[in-house]
Amino acid sequence: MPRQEHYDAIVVGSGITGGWAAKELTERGLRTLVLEAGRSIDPENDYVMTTQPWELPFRGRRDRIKQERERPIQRECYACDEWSEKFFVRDDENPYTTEDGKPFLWIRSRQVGGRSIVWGRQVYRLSDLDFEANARDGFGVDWPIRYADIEPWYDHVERFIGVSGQAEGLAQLPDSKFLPPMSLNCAEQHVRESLMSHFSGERVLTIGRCAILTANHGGRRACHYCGTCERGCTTHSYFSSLAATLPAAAVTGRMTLRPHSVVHSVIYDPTSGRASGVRVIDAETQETLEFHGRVVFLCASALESTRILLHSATERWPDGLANSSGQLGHNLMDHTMGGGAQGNISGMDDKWVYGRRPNGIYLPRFRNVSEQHPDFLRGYAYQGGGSRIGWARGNDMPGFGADFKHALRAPGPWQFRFYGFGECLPRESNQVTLDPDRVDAWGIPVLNIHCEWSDNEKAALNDMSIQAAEMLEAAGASEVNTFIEDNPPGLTIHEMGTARMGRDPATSVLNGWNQSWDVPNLFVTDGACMTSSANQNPSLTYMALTARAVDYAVKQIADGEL
Amino acid sequence: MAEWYDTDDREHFMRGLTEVDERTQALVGVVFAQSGADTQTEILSGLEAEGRARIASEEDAPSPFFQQFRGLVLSGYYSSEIGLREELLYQPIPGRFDGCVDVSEVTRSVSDGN
Ligand SMILES: Cc1cc2nc3c(=O)[nH]c(=O)nc-3n(C[C@H](O)[C@H](O)[C@H](O)COP(=O)(O)OP(=O)(O)OC[C@H]3O[C@@H](n4cnc5c(N)ncnc54)[C@H](O)[C@@H]3O)c2cc1C
Ligand code: SF4
Repeated sequence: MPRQEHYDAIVVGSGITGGWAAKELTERGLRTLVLEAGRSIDPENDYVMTTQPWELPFRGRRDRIKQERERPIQRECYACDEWSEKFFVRDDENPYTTEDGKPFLWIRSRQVGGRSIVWGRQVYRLSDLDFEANARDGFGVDWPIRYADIEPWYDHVERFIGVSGQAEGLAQLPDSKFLPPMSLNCAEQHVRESLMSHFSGERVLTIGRCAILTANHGGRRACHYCGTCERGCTTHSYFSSLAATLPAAAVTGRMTLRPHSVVHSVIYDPTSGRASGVRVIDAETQETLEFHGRVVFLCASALESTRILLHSATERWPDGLANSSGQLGHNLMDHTMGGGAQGNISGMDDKWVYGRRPNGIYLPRFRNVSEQHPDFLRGYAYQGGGSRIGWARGNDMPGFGADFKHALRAPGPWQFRFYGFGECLPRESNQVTLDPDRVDAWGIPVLNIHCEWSDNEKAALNDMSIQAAEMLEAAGASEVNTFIEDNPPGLTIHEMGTARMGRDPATSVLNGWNQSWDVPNLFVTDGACMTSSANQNPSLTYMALTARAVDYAVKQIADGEL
Repeated sequence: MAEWYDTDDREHFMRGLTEVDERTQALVGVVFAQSGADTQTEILSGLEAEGRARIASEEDAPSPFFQQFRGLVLSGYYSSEIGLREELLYQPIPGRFDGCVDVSEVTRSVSDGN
């Protein structure tokens, strides 16, 4: 008989959504156990913000041979560099399988704080254009909620995490509760103004909306613009669960955080029809443990939460716990990325920037907002920005020696780049299943991931590149080059779906409160719940849905329903 | 380099180094390191021009030796303490961001933190 412990609530995962679940549950009085598969992170020792390149063996150019061995997939992520690779999983311990020729790059962190330590911090609200999308064109099922349902929870989350940005009053991208915006640089300001007049206000270039403090906020310090966030921020200026939600949960005195706790499965009690707790493998001792709770929140990231459910099959649900609909594992989505263009902006060579802004520009969706595009459904948005390239242009410049070196002291020309991120349609054929032949380092079956872009995504990617060039030309840019990158799904790191919310238990896994239709005390509040993908970076929506689900669960408990 | 380049890159690089000495030998009868500054400039200019021509004519060609070598020098220098602290404008903690300032005489390429 394994050792047993009882709590009011169990949260699986301590990343962006697990941190929020922990904070909200404990603040509402529940004794909460947070189970985290990875190790603890100590900002004092683990963050490498102040490590200089000359202090690293490969000067920041990465130990290629070691990465090839330990992180052949994670290294495809820009942030998995010589400083920060330790914040990403080892692929040899955490394998998964795909079909030949159909890659899916699954980029993950296993540690207290999850991916909130290395994330890009871009945060955008969804709008009714997104919540109504499936109902409008018939792909996927209808979202069970609308913007009005989530709006107060966006407010709630933003007030706590701190979001800097500029209000623009756009219906397709509702404004957040903003701290002061970071400034656009001169090239970006010029492009913004050109687009405003050229596209009569339809294409609005705005400063990126990001979970980075531009003023001291909630006991955390304003950003000092060092620009290397992925290495960890010792002043806690960007939002991470480690910096903000987990400390808030800890001060309640009601959180127990247990690292090295790999959740193996959810325990289902057929007599009560509820989840009685979870089974855990201690990552250090390989011991099997059981923890019991009144409600269980799965926040292990979209595919890990789904993997736990698939692995918790029972007699009643042989294809995965809470899977009456048969939809568990299906409708996997990620955003496309990498259609765009870049060009040079002249006439401001006497201007430059001071400081390293950890943020770029955003150009919200303008396609299929008021009229239907003939080639594709849904939309895309751009990130990117203006910059003056530094010494790195020496690689393409003729020359060597002293004159060459002096020339590289001055900044190069202003360049501007639009880089698109596109919506992905929900399709049943994009799915994850358990691979019967392979287990991870803890003996748990791994996922087989099948995901492909459809023609709709490809058509939008193509349009991103054409429109980016058109906008650069409207802004008078020279040497405009277009590009369409061929990025496999996964690499945008917005993987979502696989346990979707819906209005009908026959076609969805979760109801409008992120609650399992089949097992009422089981909630899934990470990206697995997403019914459609929209084109905005999704984590803000995951956080808002998590806080909203906790509020509902706690009220249900108080009413004696749970 | 022994640990960073893969075998092909490394062989390509070592072959390039040998060729520099062979060319200098053929021209002035000593190895590159012992030749005069004018000879060195001449050899490097020749290599650079050939490299540029190759890049222009062949797609996906391996980076020619000169360009490969200069890339290493650049990233080595600009990630060194002297390159970052003295050659570039070193601002570990800028403290603020201003998107539009005048480029003054003293302004230099800012280290991008990499
Ligand atoms: C480089 C990078 C840039 C990104 N940029 C952005 C951005 O700009 N904007 C945006 O919105 N999103 C961005 N993302 C995505 C964002 O990080 C994720 O959407 C977000 O972290 C998801 O939150 P989560 O809580 O679901 O998962 P995570 O933050 O990944 O946390 C999941 C946690 O669960 C734990 N876990 C997993 N399995 C188990 C198990 N079986 N038992 C116990 N614990 C388990 C993991 O160890 C992990 O700590 C980025 C991601 C990366 C890597
Ligand atoms: S740029 Fe700002 S948020 Fe990022 S690490 Fe530096 S101080 Fe922290």
